[in-house]
Amino acid sequence: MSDTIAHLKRGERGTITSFDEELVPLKLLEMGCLPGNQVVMMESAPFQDPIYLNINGTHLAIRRETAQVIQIERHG
Amino acid sequence: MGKSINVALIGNPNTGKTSLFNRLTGLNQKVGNYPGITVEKKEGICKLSPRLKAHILDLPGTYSLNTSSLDESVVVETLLNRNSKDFPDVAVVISDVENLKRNLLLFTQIKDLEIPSILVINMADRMQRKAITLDIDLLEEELNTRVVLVSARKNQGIDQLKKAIIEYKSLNTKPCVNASSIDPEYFDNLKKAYPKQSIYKLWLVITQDVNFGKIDRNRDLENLKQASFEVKSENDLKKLQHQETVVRYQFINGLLKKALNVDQSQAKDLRSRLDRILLHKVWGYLIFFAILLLIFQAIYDWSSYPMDWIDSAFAKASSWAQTTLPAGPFTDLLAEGIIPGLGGIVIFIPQIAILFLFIAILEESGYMSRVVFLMDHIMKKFGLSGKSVVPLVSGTACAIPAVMATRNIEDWKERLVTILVVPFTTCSARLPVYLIIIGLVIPEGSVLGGFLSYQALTLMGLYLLGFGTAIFSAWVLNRVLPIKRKAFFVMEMPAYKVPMGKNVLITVVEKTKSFVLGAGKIIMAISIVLWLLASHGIGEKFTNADELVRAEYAGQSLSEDELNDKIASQKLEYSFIGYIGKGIEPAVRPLGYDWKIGIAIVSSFAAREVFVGTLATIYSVGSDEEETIKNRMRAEVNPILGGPLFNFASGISLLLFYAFAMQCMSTLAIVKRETNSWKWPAIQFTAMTVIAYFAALAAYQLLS
Amino acid sequence: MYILQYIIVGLIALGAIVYLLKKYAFPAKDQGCGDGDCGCH
Repeated sequence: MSDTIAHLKRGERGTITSFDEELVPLKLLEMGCLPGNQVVMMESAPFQDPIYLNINGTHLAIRRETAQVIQIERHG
Repeated sequence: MGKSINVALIGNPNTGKTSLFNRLTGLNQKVGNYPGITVEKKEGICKLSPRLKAHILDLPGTYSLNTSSLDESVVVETLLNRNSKDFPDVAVVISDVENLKRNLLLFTQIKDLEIPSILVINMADRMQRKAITLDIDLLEEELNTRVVLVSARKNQGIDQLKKAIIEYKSLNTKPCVNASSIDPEYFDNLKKAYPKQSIYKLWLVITQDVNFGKIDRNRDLENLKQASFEVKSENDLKKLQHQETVVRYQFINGLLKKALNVDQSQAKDLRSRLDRILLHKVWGYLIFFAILLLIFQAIYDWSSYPMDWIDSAFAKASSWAQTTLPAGPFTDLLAEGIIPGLGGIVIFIPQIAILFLFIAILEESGYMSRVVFLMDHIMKKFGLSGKSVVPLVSGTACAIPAVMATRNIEDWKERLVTILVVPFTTCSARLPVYLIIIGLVIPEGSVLGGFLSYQALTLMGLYLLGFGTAIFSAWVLNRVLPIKRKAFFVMEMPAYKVPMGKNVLITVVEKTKSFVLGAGKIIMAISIVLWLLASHGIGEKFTNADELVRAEYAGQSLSEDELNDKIASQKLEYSFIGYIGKGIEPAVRPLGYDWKIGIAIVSSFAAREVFVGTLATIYSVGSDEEETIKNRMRAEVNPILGGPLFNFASGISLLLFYAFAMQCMSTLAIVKRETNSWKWPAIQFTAMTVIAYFAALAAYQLLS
Repeated sequence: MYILQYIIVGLIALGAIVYLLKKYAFPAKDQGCGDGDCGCH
């Protein structure tokens, strides 16, 4: 099982590799959540939900359910 | 009279679009609605040159032209319909220098529509501090457009923008991204079928169905569906939309790699430091709670001075009219109906202004999104979304904009539940009732060394009760409603900003004005009708009240004043309104009310804030001594039990009734419009009113 | 003077009743809540 955004801890970063298009709303793609873009974990609310990310320079929050279906390749 | 051109302001949320709009138009603006739908339409006039005026339309903020909400579809509508009077001669697309990448997505889509477009890069004053450098020439060349650097906040670059708008005819309308590369064959066929139409426009019309459903299109495009070419499945179209987004981002990322340079070492900013505190697992919640507490204390405390002053000013005006003007029915109407009715509106201006002041500051500063973030997990448990917090908080102003604010909740079930429970939050229309009742039945005095008064705490308690009931009902509804939840949630976390005085001021003025004009007219009209019903009657007991009362009390040595009071109250009792009130009395007596309160409650079903005005009118009919409303209410005696009518038990019972009852026709109308069915408002009305009645009943029976 | 006052009162009352009826009993279709009055209250 590869890493997903939900596995990131605060301050960690990765590159989005793939996700199931069915489970990710188009709006998230428009905000820059696309394969190849970098993602940084900024903060998380209690229970790790929702999660506050910086994707491709855009600051946004998504729920844990969505974060769990976005595969990433972890950096360093 | 010079020429006028149409300018549309378009941009992502949080790019400072409203600030720029305010800069361009000043107070020269009009807020209304698009015909038939409740999307706010902001228009204004800007003088570009002595001979050229711009009619500026501030379109709702959107992330792309792939619409998923009513607000967004308005943008697409406006840009597609060349015959509309709002169709822009030039589109001004606003972006924020720190979010240029994302903002350009929308820009490339608008470019594809071949509308003359100007790219405004706002917040340019931050560039130096953030160590951002931009190659404007390269941007202009690759995007086929004019780029204007602006700081709406610091009022920089506005003249250059105006100049660019004046020269709109020289703008290049060529697209900058070739969207048809995602499926060349499909787009080729499309082009063949409709050689005259812009290809991207056709694509938008086709894909709107995927996301949104019905929007009105131009008739010539409507034929498209019947056309004889390959029709793609929804899923395929959705995949293509994904690919379109990918293609656009490839172009943008490539362009900005060359044109934009950010020195990351300088980027340690305010955002992360503030977020660490404001989103902290303990401090975050404490700070949010403290801010709420501050707001309620402010509404209660700060506003009491102007309110007392207004209250006594109207009482004086009323008694001045009574004594100075020639006697007659018009003078009576003025002194007993119109002036007290007007007072019942004006008195709440201070509080409403303070409430909107806080809401505007929270929104402007970017803190509201942090609250959404903090609350999402908890709200999700109750079947709501973190985004329900914004409707629930703005519901403290008015349920109508709150119901409309649910539009950005992605999930239909979460949205419906939010709409259904929002009217439980304490809207500003309840405030008048709460304040006057609390003032009457809750003792003065305070805790915590005089910082928090019992009265302010009661008010806060009522707000919490509203929120609590809303959330509890949401939990119930979430289990009962047979709708599947998808639980999508995407929210931008905007940068923190110091709220701009001008923006906050305009919001406060606009909202207060709409309360005074909107609510004012209704309260006024109801006051007049009530006065008419209260000062007229039929039957001997009304027409001969004077003689009958004098005869009845002939044996007792009553003073002339006391006699006059008895006469007035007998007249009121046998007036038209007296009969109506007596008819209702059996239903409201178990709750601790008399027939006069009954009348006030019935008239409140049009709108809650009518309550105080109604009592003011009923009580002042017949009494020559014009007193403040509060004193008059305090002096009311319970006709059966004796003692003050407004005591602790009946007061609490009234507070609970108003906390729960669905007494707002306008909200029901808006819920019908937003849910597209009478079923939901009907359920809402019945459930809330039944809860209100039994809560009030229980409270009175237990406390008295 | 007294008669005049009656006439004014009559007109005002009529205006108020017509306004309320228009607002609640026969609301115009899709009035879109324009002109700043969203029927908020």
